[in-house]
Amino acid sequence: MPTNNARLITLGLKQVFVIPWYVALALAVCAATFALAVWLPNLNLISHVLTDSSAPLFFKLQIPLTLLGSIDTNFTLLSASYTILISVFFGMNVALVAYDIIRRISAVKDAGIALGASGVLSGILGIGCAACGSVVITELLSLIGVSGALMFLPLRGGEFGIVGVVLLAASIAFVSKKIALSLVCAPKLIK
Amino acid sequence: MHNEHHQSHESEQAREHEEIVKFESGNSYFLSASILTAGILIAGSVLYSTSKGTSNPAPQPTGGNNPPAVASADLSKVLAVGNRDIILGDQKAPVTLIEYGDYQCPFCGKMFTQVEPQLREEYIKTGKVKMVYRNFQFLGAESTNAGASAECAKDQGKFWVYHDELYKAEIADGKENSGNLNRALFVNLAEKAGLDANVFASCYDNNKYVAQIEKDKNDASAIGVNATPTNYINGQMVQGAQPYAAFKSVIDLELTKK
Repeated sequence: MPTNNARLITLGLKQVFVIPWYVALALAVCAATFALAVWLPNLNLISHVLTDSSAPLFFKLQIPLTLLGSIDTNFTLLSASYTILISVFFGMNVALVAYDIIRRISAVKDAGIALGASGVLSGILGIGCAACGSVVITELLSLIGVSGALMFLPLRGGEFGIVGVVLLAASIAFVSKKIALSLVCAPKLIK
Repeated sequence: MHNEHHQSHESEQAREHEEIVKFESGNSYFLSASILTAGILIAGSVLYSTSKGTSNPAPQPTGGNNPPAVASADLSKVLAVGNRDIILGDQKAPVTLIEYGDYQCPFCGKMFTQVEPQLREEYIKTGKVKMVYRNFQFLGAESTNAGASAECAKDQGKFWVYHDELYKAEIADGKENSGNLNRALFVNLAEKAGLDANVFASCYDNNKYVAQIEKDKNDASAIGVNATPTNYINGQMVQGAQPYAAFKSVIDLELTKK
């Protein structure tokens, strides 16, 4: 069985992303994260159009769609890059975490052990904390008004985007490896 | 032979077990480190924002996530077209587009080159939209001076020609606070725009509109402007250098209501 990190990570990723449902989950989360990031400055506009009873359906669809184009016009190369990477990595993380949680629950049920909510939660935190934290950080910082602080940084806040990408990539590697090791771990090997 | 194979298999199992034990140990360190990192970043940002004593974040050019600030003034009052507003297009046009910009903002430059040409051709010249440009000059002294110089151009009825020349010059320079937006350039652009250079220079040298620039920025901040470009289309905020298609959609929606 493969034991070095790169092969374990690859094994874990393959284990999950050969299953169409998890690919679909990753894509859906990726799309939602990307859309939120791009729409963030104009959520009021989108909300207004969607709730405006006099606005034709055509505009309710067209306006949010056209605003997605701002990834090209309203982002620097750096910010567009990490926005896209964070969206993709977060989608992958959610799929990996979902797989691992479902696998754990199934394994525990098979073993006939009761699993409380706290056990599930600690599992989620243990696997997904870095992923959730990094997405929250990069989205939340502007929401809670720290733009002033960001302006003093060399990349004007882009540093947080880069940190987010790194954390999410590390989380993908971590969870993938964990999934892969579950394939090599048999109860009889653990003393 | 059989013993060698058995020993090799046991070594492999031992290596795998060691890998699992190492991984489980690393798991707890990773969890602790990630919680700590997230906690420090979030706590630090919350502390910083509350210590500033303001509900509104400092302005910046758009370019990514930057939600609008909380409005504290009457929007309709501030957005009403006033004496200092020079309208581009037909005064009777059903849709009003007010742009808050900074002459050094690269995203305002993008809007100037990628959105305005089509906007002027398809909506302003055809009498559907009237456009107003207002100052939200915040990127430094050069921005303030540029804004003040443009106000001097208003005195001679040449605001929009001068405004266009100013953006072209800054886009060509491509850098903020590089020193290019200076008196010599302003006078040069004024001559190019057909202004009386002596009258213009006198206005600029006397700092006639410096206080006005600051007032414009404060008025804009009060309605939630905290980034440039910020546009209001019939009172609806559209923030950022959005693609032309987005502006077109919002304008077309407003036109269906008229």
